[in-house]
Amino acid sequence: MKLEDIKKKNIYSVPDKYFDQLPTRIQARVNESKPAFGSSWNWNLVYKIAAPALAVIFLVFYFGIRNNYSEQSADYLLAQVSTDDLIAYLGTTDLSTDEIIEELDFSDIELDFYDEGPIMQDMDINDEEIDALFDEYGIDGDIL
Amino acid sequence: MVIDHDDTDDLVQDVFIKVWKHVGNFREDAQLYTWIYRIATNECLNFLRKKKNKFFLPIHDVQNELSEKLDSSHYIDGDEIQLKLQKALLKLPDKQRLVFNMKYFDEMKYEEISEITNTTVGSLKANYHHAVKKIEAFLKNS
Repeated sequence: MKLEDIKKKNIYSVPDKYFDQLPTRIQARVNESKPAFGSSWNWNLVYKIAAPALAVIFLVFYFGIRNNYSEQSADYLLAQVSTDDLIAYLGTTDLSTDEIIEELDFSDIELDFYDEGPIMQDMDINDEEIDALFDEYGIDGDIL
Repeated sequence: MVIDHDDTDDLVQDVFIKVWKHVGNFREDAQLYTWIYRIATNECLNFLRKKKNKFFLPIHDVQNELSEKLDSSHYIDGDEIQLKLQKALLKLPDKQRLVFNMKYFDEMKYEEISEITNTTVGSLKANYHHAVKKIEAFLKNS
């Protein structure tokens, strides 16, 4: 049997008034899927703006945390070591006193050698004698 | 394509809801009719694929199920030979059946079918020719 011998006919039918009611039913489904507040998201805009913004925030947060952590961890660990242990450790190294002094940052340390406290009063030594001592031992008074 | 009226009804609604949601993306590089038809064909094929995967049914079980609906549905009215033709169509792969329906029943041009299915005219002609041969062989043997 050939296909062309068969009468071409659409054998499918629909219920009465199907197409009349179809738009109403579709509209009902559309209304169900709408958000309650009537807001409509422009998802393209969300992707274009929110995604890069989130990426920037993440990077700032990540590197900020990382830097803070590395700084705090070094400072924190150092603070846990007692002064006596530090002195004992320095004694075991090959570093000389001058080399240690060179590494120190005196900007945060308040040095007041000219405060005439009880130690200076007991020493009975004047400024000229102090300068002479500096010259004898090769100490540069400017570092103080 | 899906035989059952209720399934067809669901799919028709899904198609128009998708059209409404995505009409802003319609680029007007094709006719609106072609664009809607493409959505409809994709929805049909996806539906049939999910049906086959849903309950882990072998393909021939889905064919049998659709074939039984041809016999039992209240919305199908055809004589014996036309029902045989529809059952023969169910033996074809879904996409081949789709092309056959568009060419034979909807009498669409190959160029239109090519735009909708994104297939070359040459492939469509070969596809349709093979479909006709398979159907004629099935009708001869049944």
